[in-house]
Amino acid sequence: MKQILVISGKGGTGKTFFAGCLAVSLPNKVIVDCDVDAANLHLILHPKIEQSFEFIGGKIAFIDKRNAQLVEPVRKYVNFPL
Amino acid sequence: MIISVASGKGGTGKTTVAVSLALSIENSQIIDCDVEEPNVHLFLNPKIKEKIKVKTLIPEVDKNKCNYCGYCSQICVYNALAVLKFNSTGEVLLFPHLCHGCGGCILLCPEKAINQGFREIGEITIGYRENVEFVEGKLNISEVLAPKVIERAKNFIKPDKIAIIDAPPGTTCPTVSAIKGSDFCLLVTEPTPFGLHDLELAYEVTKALKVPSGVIINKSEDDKIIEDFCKKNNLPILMKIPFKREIAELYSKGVPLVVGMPKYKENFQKLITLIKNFKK
Repeated sequence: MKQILVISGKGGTGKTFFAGCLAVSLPNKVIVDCDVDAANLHLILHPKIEQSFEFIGGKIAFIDKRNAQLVEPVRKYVNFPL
Repeated sequence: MIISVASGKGGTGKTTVAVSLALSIENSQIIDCDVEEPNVHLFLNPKIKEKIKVKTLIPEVDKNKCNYCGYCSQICVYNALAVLKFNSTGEVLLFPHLCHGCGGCILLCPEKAINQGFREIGEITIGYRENVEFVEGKLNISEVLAPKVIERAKNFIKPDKIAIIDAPPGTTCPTVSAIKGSDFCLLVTEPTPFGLHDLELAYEVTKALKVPSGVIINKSEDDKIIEDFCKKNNLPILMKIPFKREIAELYSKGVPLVVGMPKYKENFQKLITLIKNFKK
């Protein structure tokens, strides 16, 4: 199996256009839109959606109200806005 | 006043707008926050005054104090530390690209065996062209901490100037860091389904950040899809840049629009007036 990657440093150069052209001209393929901020490939390929699901990729912090007194000392040390 | 220039889609004309706006008004500063691929300098050709390294905090383990208990590795949510313990000795492995520089391990090490170290992740360049002040953030290749470099570049914003931020495309952390704190956000788009789709996303970002915004249509010809969206959302269209070969030629040579076609200066000056009125 071959994997072909379409990238560019600059935006708007034609990645999606090119990937879309490859997609329609190749047999037996899987097309993956990895521009996860602003995915556009569906706008030219108009796929039928079979399935979609949430992706969980990290953890999120929350303040435990029972230990709220600890927030101030931590805020002083940790280099993140809390 | 801080004005950010953003768009969901790449290549819509953010840099074209930001540079021309900075060159058309008095007392301006341009901050290139597209730190992965900063391009403003190609149009502005600024004289460079200063370069400053951007560094991030990393842990440095004192092997004389460390007993390889592994606590630092347990508390690091980014999995940037791994501790291996052998009989009487051990090893602490740091994966610097995973470290977000929170300093948690330094604070919490039971043996106080971790010290502050620093690692370079990018560079800020300061310069000027005529009366325009130029600030550029640049992220080193393969680094992920774009927001850190963006925030550092934004530290050079002077409150008495009109600061114009050239934001990166997209809708994630770097874009948010660039737009955050702006008084106004210009959303540059093009009248295509792609331009519209990503304008919708970028508009959501400005709403979430509570930054008032307006639209600039670049490569303007048949703008109906964008106009309909703007009308529906009560989003003002502040300017249109026509789809013209002459403009594309200037761009391809790296000539700012208002330098090659000075008549556009007036449009950009009007734009500033519109934004100022919008604020009131």
